Amino acid sequence: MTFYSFRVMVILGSAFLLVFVILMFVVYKKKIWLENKWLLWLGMLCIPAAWICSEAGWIVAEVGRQPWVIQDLMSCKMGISDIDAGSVELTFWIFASFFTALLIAEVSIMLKYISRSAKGDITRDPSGNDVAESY
Amino acid sequence: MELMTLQTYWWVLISVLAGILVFMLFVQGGQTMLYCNTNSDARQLMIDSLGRKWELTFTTLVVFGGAFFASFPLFYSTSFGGAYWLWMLILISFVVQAVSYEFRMKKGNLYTHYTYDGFLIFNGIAGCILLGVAVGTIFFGADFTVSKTNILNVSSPVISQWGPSHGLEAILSWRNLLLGLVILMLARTMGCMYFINDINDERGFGISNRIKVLTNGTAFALLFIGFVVVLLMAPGLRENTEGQLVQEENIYLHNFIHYWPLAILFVLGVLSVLYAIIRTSFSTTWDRGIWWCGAGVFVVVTILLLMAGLNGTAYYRSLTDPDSSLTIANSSSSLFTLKVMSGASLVLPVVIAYIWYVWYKMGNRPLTTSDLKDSH
Repeated sequence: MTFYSFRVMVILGSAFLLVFVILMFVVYKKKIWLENKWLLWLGMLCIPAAWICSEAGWIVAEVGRQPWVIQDLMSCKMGISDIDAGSVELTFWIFASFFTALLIAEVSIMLKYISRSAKGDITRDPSGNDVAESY
Repeated sequence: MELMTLQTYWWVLISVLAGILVFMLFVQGGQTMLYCNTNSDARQLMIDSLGRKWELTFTTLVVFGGAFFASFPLFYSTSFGGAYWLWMLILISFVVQAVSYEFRMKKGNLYTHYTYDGFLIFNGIAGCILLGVAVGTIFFGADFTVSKTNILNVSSPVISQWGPSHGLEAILSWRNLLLGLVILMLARTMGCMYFINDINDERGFGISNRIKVLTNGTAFALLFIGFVVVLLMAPGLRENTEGQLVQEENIYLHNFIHYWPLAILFVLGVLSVLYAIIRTSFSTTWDRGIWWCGAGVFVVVTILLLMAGLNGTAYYRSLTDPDSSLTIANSSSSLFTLKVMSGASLVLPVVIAYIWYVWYKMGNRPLTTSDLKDSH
């Protein structure tokens, strides 16, 4: 598991660097390419890819460290708290439910903003920056 | 440097951070006032005003927790791992706060702003009371045992163990709850003072807040007197010259007498808070109450925390097994870790200066109703 996670993390991380360089070049030298459909799709793909990269990194860190919290000094078994499994499960489901509800809210907000941006109705200041909305 | 010097240094640093944190809880106090006889414009102004500061409170909480847990890891493993439900509730209350400020007025928000208003009020009330309860366990003890030799037990190498209710019993302790209520009423009082300072509204909003300062400030003062009486009468444990923990009645009173200059500062801090409450309540124009009150709160809370840990006092008293109690000497990180962290802590004034600068830039002009034009 660590073997593949590590490679996914490194490959995606390197790909992000490449995309970053390409986009910097386009923004400063070839603005016309910003209308290119494939480039926009590349940007869109980076959104889930960043999440996959991040999760792969966590797997490398947490699975790869086993069985140590601190290499050769403290094992994971010694780092556990005196909490029963039921409490941990309950906490997991509380956070899973709550964050799922928030994910739905966030996706809804993102879709709304993408739609508004496409229609050009986001308020911008004279410098072209988005005007901050109220809390 | 000597280990004891570094342990004392870190306890002082934690006390200072606690002082800043309790002052910054005016954000939570302000959140509890959202639906106290206010119209929607006033509510939006209050949220816009608090929205410019909430991250500073959040950051201070994280710095306080991080510094405490890094310098005294046995407190971390005992309290966070043991009083599990108490800390989880605190965590949840602050998660919903962060989300609320980000999502509340966004277009496409599915749950309406009322949901997030509810979250903010929940964070305001629960955050203050539960933090008070958590700090209350420092003064009044908790239901845990610590046995470092357990690390050698192959089947269950757990050093710190807590009672079966894992922190819920701390919430039901009346002395912890008293401190929680003190902090809640203080935060509400400071929240109103902050609104008076940060919002210019010509429609009676300021007068309404001055009345709330009087009512909440009076409730705070009465609760605070009760807390101080209970605290000074509380027993505690002190390390003797042989390194044993010995029960002592009125231990915090004795600490105040021992550190009498700090006791004088403590009284001056209390007077500063009372001055801010009285003058804000009865003046129609004075808006500097938040600074007088904030300075007083900072001094009072810092000194209270110092009294809890200095002079060989056990700052985390075990009600189950006195010998398991934590002092700054038996619960700190190693000499090496404290040395490295002390070096890193020297940048703290830079961080504080940055926070001050950001505060100044964000709040150098009071909000008015004209700022609402882009809010809806």
